Amino acid sequence: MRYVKRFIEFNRSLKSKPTKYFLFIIAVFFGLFLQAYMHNYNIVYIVLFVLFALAGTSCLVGRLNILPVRAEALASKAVFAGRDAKLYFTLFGSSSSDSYDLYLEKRRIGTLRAMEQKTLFLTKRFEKRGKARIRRLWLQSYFPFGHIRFGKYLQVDTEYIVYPKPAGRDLKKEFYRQLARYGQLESFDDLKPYEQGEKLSTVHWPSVAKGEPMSKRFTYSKDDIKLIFDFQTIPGSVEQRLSQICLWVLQASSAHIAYEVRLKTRHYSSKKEDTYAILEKLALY
Amino acid sequence: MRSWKNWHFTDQKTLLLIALGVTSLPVFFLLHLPMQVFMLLAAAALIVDKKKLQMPVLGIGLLCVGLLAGFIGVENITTLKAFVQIILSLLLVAAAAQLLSGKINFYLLITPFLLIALWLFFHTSIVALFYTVFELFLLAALILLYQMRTTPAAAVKVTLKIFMLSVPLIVVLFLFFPRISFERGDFGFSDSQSAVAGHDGTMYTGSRALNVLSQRKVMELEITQGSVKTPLYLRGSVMYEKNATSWREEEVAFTPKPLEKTQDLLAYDIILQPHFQEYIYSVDYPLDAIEKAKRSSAYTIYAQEKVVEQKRYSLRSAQEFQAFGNVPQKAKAFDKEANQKLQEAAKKYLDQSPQERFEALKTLFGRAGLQYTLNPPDFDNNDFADSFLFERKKGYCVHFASAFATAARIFDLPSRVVTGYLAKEEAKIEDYYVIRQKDAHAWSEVYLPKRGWVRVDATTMAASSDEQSAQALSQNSRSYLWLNYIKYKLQKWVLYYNYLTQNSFFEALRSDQGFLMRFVGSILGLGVVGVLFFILIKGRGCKDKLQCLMQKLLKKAAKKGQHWDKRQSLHTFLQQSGDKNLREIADEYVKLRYSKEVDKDALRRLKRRVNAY
Repeated sequence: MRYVKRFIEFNRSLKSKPTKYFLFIIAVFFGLFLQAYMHNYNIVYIVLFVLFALAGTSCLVGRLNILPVRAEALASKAVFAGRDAKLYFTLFGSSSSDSYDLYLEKRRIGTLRAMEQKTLFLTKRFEKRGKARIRRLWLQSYFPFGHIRFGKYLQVDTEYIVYPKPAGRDLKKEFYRQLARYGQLESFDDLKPYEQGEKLSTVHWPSVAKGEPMSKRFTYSKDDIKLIFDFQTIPGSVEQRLSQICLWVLQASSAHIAYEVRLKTRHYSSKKEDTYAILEKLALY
Repeated sequence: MRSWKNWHFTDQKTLLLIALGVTSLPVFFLLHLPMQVFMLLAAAALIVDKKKLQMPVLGIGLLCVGLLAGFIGVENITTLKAFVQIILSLLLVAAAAQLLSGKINFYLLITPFLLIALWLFFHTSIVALFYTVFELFLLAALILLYQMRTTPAAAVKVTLKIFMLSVPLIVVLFLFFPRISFERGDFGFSDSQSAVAGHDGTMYTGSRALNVLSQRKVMELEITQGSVKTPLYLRGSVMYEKNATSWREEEVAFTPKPLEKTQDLLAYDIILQPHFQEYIYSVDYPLDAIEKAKRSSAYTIYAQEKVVEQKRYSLRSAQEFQAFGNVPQKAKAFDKEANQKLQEAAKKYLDQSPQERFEALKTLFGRAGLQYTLNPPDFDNNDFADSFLFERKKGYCVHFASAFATAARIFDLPSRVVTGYLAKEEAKIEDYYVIRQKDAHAWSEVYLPKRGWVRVDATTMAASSDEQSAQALSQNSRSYLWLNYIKYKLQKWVLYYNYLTQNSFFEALRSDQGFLMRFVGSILGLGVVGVLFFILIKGRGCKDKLQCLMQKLLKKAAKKGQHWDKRQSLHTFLQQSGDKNLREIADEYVKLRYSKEVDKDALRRLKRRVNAY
């Protein structure tokens, strides 16, 4: 009884839509009917009834095909506004039967075997920063005969933080003087014996090759660099400013340069907070 | 070489070629030579599969269609048959050209279905029925194979599941869908049928005496009402005229008098194979004729047209009856110069009553020591009856019937010879008989004033029969009879199911509760079988025994409230379940899962633990 109730509930949530092959089947029914009826052509009747029965039975089979499929969202990579983002999901199939010819958000998944789970990604673009929610995904299938498309919504209900679109002037160009004053890792002042615990980026590898590990000495190190990204001083609209800061945050992070983001009265330092935590602040500004 | 079960046929073109090949096979056999040649050329071109062949194939195709029109003939071009043939041909040409172009469009995809719909105009036999069902199954499997992108075996399994689920609905629709027509139309053309040689109104007694030992089926008979009391004599033609070597049927009168004291009525259906004569065979004696036929004064039935194709009809006959009147003068005529021995033997009985003469005649034949043989010696045709009865004493039904009828006339009893068939008990399954050419038979009829026309099968008066003849006349095996019986039932209830059959079915449902219950039970049973088939046949077999075993364990755990979150590993779930049994199973599972070879003993132990859980 429980299964019957579940099936009835599911049936209500299921959507089905005939395809062009459905129209062809209707035309075939009509043609076969005309061929059979007036002259009691029993083989033609049988063909008509077989097609009718198959079309009807396939409605049940098609529903059962997508009935057990469900999805869950996985952690995804950073999502930026205005850019295609890969959102990861896992599809779970039935424990006892395969599900065939699946399309998730109109992208063909194919077959989901029994007891199998498939991890896949969907490409989506969010135009606005902030919080975005994906409540459900559309799953459809043309199984078995393609004359009806069966579909249902998979509830995922996942929230994503959409960071501002990274755009604006390049960090190196904007902060050239500061970066030049502090030097690059390639231009070191001196060499000194390597001490255990020093960063690998300071190792002088030619010396190591000679058998005498040495490290580079800088008069000023990158550790001393601290760029300030002040929301108030950046020109442009709110979104432009946020995009600019976002770009700089990303570029500074990848170059291992310390920075501080100043949003009105709040200051966020890269030494104290994770990059994505800072980006989140920008997203939710 | 990989097993075919593991081949993945996912290329749409390949699947379409298979579908077109199967559905165009019956078409090949019904089109004329030009199109047959084209079909072979097109098949070769498709195997080569070069795009540049498209236009040549199209050109040759259209030329062949033109030649086909020539074969059909101008005068027949407007008939439905010709129209369908030309449509079929054009369809094949278009499909071949489109396939060679490399583009698969919607019209190409529906071509197999159109081919089936068109060739069904021509083929209407049981073979066509089975092949049609096979085609539908194959097309469904091919569609599923494409949709599922899997192995043929998996696609066939799913197709079988869907078909089994559909069977009850098909049966109900077929039986209950309203029919309006009585007869099955054939649109003026039908399957070619071989003719069966039949009687031509003349029975030879001399060296040209007909002796047909062919196994070819002449007709099938099913008793629909009544029970058979006597051997079934199927009446064909009646002959009065006799010359030295033959009996002939001349000047048939169609004024039969009603039969009297009819008893043991039989109702039956007959399927008669074409024999190119007008005779409609009926069980002795028919009460009426069929549509477009007349009953003669001698109670034989003649159709208005020769039977040139399979004919189905229903009749009623009386097994016990009295048929008075209709005694023409020629029934008493005999050559007074011939058969002197018989005339001599008859002299002492001529003063007695007809009944006494009849008994004396039967006694004469019974004591003559006659032998039934299919290899009789030559007879003296001028004194045939004497030669048979007193000298040769051997012959088969034709000789017995002829001699008895002649002797009856000499004994001053009107007589005639009847030819037809004898439906033997050994050729019967349930109430169904198969009558073959070697069942052809001849017998006599004698008129007695108080009883009317009485059948006399003089063959039964033979004292013996030679072994060779007995063997030659032996019946077919039971399996042959059963096959024919099943085929007959299929024809009756499937191919020839019509308004009348449907009405009788509905009537049986209304009046017979037992039948109604059996029918409902059968449909429900079919439904249950279909559902069970659907549930039990899995798309894939259990290839990973360990995985399937753990699946079983998870189901059991779920019943106890332990649900596996698939985001964590199975081992972690089992370890963290809090159930000691599950933890132990987890350890064994890990050992088996990550070992190089599966330890069968360990697997068995794990299986026992899972079963015991």
